[in-house]
Amino acid sequence: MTTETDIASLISQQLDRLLAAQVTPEKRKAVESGQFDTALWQECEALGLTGALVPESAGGAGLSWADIAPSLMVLGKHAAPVPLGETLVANHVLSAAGMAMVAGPVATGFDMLTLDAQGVLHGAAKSVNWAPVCPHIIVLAQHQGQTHLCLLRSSDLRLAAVNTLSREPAADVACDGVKPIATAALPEGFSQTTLLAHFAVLHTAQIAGALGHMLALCVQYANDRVQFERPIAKFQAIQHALAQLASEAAASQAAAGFACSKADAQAIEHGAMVGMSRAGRAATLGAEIAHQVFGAIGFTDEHSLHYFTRRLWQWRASARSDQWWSEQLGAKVISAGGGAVWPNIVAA
Amino acid sequence: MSSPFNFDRVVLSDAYDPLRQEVREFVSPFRDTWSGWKIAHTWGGIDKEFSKAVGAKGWIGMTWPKKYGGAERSQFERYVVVEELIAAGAPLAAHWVGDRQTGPLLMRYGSEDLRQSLLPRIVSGELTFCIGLSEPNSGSDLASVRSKAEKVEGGYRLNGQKIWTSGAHVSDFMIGLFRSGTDKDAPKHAGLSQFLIDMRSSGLSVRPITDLTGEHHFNEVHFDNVFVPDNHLIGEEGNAWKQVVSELAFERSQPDRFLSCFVLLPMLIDELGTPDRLAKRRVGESVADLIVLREMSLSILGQLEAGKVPAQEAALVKDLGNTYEQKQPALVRELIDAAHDIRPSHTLSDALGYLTQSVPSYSLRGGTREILRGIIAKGLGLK
Repeated sequence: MTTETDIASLISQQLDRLLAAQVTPEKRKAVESGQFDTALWQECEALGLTGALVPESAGGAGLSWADIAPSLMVLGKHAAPVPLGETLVANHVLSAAGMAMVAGPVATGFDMLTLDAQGVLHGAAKSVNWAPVCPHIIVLAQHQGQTHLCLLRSSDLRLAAVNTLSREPAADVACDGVKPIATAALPEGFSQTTLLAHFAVLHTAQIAGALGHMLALCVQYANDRVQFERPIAKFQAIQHALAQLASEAAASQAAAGFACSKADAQAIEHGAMVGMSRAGRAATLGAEIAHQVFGAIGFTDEHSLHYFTRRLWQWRASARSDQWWSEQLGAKVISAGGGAVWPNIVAA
Repeated sequence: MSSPFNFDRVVLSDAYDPLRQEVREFVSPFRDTWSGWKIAHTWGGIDKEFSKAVGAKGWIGMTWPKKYGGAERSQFERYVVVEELIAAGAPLAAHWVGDRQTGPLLMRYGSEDLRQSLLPRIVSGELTFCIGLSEPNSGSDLASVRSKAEKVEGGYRLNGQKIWTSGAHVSDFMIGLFRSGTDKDAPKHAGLSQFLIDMRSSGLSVRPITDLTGEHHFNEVHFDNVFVPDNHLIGEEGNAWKQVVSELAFERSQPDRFLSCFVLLPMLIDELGTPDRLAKRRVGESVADLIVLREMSLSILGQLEAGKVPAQEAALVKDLGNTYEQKQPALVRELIDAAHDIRPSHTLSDALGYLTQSVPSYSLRGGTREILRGIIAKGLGLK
């Protein structure tokens, strides 16, 4: 375990260095206008992270969610203009279905399609993040009463671009009449919610990383920006707002740690409920505070703050919303009754 | 990425489950006899008989050395006991200060004879302590205390006044902060000393302050030439500021900083009937918040156990925790049509009646929200 943890922290440091050197506001802007940075993607892929959660026996790195949590946060910290987190989760899901991981970026559709007896798909996957730049897409389909995972070649599909808050490429994907290049039944209990939970956990970690970075940006700005003959950091109103931002960043970090460890403990849906409920609200408040501290300059296209705040708004709502996950958690807690609340909270 | 805080995950293993179960079985018959109003006080409620029963179980001073009556159990075991008792709404105030603060303080700074005479009696739940910090003109600006300790033959003579002293009227001893230095040009944090004061001392008088709930928790404590012997000086003369501050990381990150209103949640859930989407959402948010606060609190405990002083993290948990606690009565009001009635026959109304009135104090006690946010801001490097 120690060795894997060391490898994991090494990878997150390498990723941090790579992204710090490579990711510029221009590159974020480029991906938002549809230009995919293939060179950056290849460098990320070379780090070996795309198979991080895939077992070693299937050609992956065999790491745990807890191991890669720091790397997922680093992706949020840099608002990385590549679907590295999305791809490593997709490969993990492929391996859960006993399918081989694929090279290159992979997008994931969350809608439930149907796969007929001839092995042909019916239906569409709406609002699939990164689909326009991914050679492969995975979708869920019902087949003979069982949930199947289908691997699709993007060139076989009709994509209709969709605008999203992050402006990263996304599309509605029409799958009618398409034959998957591979299909396998998902294990018993792996539902649509399970798939969503994988991405909610990813986004929880990305939110934590982004909030930590926004906090650093705000502290720097407050120390530099002078008004009324002193840095605005001297004003108690600013200090207290940033203390609150720090609290939200810290809580989202703890939420991400919890969510990842639940994912490792075969309770990824619970992890997603708690993680996204907390981190989603941290994203909401954190974005508000950061914009208030940065004032008008932070509201401009030219300033890079919006690359982070728009992604926070994206991630809190991409794999169902924080509101939805809160509702799932509440439904579960309420149906267990008042007497079970505390025992369930402390159950390790 | 260099982060201004650390919340590495620490998990309580299921090896503590039997202890947890034991606490639940212990508290359950008591709880059956408590009113909603009493349950709502939880760790702030005074019940000396209950504290003695907790002591008899070995759950006060349970981490302390055996030679002082302790059980040499781990901080994590103590955490399990404390969180279980608070979640059940158990009244802990009669032993709370002794267990959490005075005992550890005596072990770090007290003389050997004080340890031997006092610690075993804290462990048994016999002794109640109060803390004399605030004064009429020293609230958040604690270092400005003016009550004086003057060196005399064989000890010190204390003069001045403390205020907002919780439980002084039921306490056996106070740990009080006094100015012993006489150098007017010294920084105000210097020249402060901590004393152990017998509440039966001559010249010491306690006057009640009734709070807005109608109850008597606070007091004024007046010192008129109160004599304390030399061996009741805790630690070094003039070093009290450091001694006081070093306790804070522990004090500010414990379950009492976010569980004070927990008892409302099970009651609320049982009152919901068929919940609508809003109810599910709000309950989900509340549970998610609580799980994450507990994660953060446990992380701090792990860091303390590893010999670190996570003061930033603790200030952060207290601020988040108090804000969370304070929202709980409002959550009940949001989800059920709670009236103003406070009826002993209706446990939820009884608990809600007390907690609605009590929550404003949560972001005052143990460091106000404003002080905490100032500490956090400073730690962030705001210049």
